[in-house]
Amino acid sequence: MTAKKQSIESMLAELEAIVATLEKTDTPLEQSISMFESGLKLASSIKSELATMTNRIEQIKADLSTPKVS
Amino acid sequence: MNLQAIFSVSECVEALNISLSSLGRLTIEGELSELKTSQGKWLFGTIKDQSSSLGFFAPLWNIGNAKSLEIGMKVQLVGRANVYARSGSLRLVAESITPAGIGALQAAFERLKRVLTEEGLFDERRKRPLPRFPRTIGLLTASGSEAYNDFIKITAERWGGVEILFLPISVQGQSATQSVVSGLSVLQRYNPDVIVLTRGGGSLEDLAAFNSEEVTRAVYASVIPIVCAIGHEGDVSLAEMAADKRASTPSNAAQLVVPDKATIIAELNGHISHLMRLTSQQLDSANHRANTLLLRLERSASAQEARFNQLFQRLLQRFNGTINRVDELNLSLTTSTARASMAMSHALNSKTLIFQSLERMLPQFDTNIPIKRGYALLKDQQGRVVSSIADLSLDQIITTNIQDGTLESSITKIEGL
Repeated sequence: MTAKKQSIESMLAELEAIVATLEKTDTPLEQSISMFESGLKLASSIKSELATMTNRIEQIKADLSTPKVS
Repeated sequence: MNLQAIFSVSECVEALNISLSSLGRLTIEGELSELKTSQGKWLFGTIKDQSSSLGFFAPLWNIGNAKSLEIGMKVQLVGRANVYARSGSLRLVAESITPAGIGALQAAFERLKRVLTEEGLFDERRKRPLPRFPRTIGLLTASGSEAYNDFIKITAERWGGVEILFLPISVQGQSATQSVVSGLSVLQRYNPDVIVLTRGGGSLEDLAAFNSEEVTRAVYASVIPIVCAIGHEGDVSLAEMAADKRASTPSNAAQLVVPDKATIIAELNGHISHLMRLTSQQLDSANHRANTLLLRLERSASAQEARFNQLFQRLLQRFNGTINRVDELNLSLTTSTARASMAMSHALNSKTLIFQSLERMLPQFDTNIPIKRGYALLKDQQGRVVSSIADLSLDQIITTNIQDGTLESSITKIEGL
């Protein structure tokens, strides 16, 4: 579980890939079951990630008064 | 004495300009009667009323709304008067020319909109999709504004893990246009995934910057996908029309820019149940297959069993047949024996009866008894009992047994009864 933290986006993409693979009828049953398990794990990781993440606000300091050509 | 100084022409123009500059900035209202641009840099025109007219001049970059101006439009021109040295004509150097009077601003807006539409700034085909999961959002709005608060609040409610690069800008008044244009340019350097340009509602005048050609073009030129939410629902500014996506309010901008946790969770749940369905379907079909095979196996086993049973039955039948035959044989044997023994005993019984009757009858045949009574017993020479004359012949020797002895005699006469 200490593996590099994946982004929600990539986790969702992975989950979608798992669903797509399982939708193929020729996936071997054993593989299906292990994929199903990792799908559930991914889903719960995403859920816990969603529950804890917060936004960070950074104010940019910039001088917006550009001198005018006169 | 004439103490009045004599000016050269240049000195005179200079003196006039010094004098005119003391008037400071003038605001003049009138109707545009002439309007033209030169070399893409300069704007020339004339403003007039019923009896007077004044020429004006301005660098184009100072007049952001130049494209919205048209001849016959009532405007307020802000500028300073001076004398153009070369022609000696008085003119106004305009700093801004804004439509004046009822409907004038609206007319200017409509005109600019038409021009920019023709140019393709609002073309739907060039609008880019927004990233589904932005990591950085560039936010351009006024510091401490309701728009800022709404955007931040709704974003936080919907999603997390986002870095919001907030660049405070002026959204109203003289400096707004420049502030927005510069802000957009600064944000491009930070390269966020998406830019949000927003402010709350206001009058058409309040929203002027977002209907300006400069801001509209800056929005159009953004290399980063941009969402504009200017004013309340209903007011559509030119900046919004040039944006990749238009939001009705700052809150709506947040809704468009970040996904909703609840939606993602619903999507996740959908994925999970889909996964479950798929896996259980596969399990079911595997089960079904296994069951079918098992059934077939059982069937074949039971077929074999049936075959075995059949064979066994046949064997049993044959065996029973044999047993039956043995039984039959036994039976018949028994019957025969019984019959035999019965026959035997019958025979025996009857023999016994005969014997007994014979035995009873026997004394009757005792020759001694009649002899004792005086009868005689005749026998021939061979010892046979003679009981008929037919057995005798003349001169035949016969033996006669009587009670106390035997005598031999010869037959001298035979006479039947």
